[in-house]
Amino acid sequence: MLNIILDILVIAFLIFGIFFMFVAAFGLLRLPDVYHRMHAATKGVTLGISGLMIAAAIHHAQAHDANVVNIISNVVLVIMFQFIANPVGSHLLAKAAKLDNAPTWEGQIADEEHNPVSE
Amino acid sequence: MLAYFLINVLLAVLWMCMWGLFDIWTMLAGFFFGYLLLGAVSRTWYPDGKGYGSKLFNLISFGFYFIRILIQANLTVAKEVVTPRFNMTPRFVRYPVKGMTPLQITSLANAITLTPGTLSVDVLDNDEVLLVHCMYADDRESAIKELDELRDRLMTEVFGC
Repeated sequence: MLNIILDILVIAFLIFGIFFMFVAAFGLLRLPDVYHRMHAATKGVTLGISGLMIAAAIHHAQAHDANVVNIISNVVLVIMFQFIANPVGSHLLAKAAKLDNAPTWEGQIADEEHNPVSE
Repeated sequence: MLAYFLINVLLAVLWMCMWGLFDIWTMLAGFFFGYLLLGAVSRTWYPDGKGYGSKLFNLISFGFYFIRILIQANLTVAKEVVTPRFNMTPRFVRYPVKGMTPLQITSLANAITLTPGTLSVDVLDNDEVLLVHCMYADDRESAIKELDELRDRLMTEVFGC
């Protein structure tokens, strides 16, 4: 019984992760400009990898793997570094795009970089 | 608060080294005894009498809040990607971060990138202003208010000492 519940949990986390990875990839193709694409890539990949890693941890814990502690600590480290590295990478890419005056979508309302709005 | 949490982790590692056992139960025991120790010691450091013991739960509550808004962010992006037409109202917003330390600004910028509809793009004016790309900023005030809530929670629950 417990095995079935854990299996369902593993499948649920896998589908969760794969869905958000898919959204990230599809968003890169579909969204209009570089900033919107960074939105999709950063958020989708961070959550997607977390889901896949949790699924892997549950699967190995269920199989009574000998080095399950190693696997779980690796999972924790991977998730932690994802949360640190992904936003930094997207920040740098967005900054490079901004310096390069990348074209923006025509629906953009305002750009306050050089003209601050008085509070 | 993060600093005490890291000290607590260090105490847990120390506990594992002393027992010579590197498994999950020894680590949990070390974390628990380190928690008791730090809670007892830090109680007298604050005027309100609430030390690390009760403030650790603020950190945990920030963790749950962060996971919730991360999932919410992904759902908004997913909705925008999967549905046929675009409903974005994008805008670059200047967000003042004056008076925060570099570590706090970095944490805030990372947190902004992972929250719904916002992406930190640049740091301007000698580290006093963050340039944030907001996906849904039809109304500038409400977009700023969301960032304010995130900043206040980050400052009180993670860095509030």
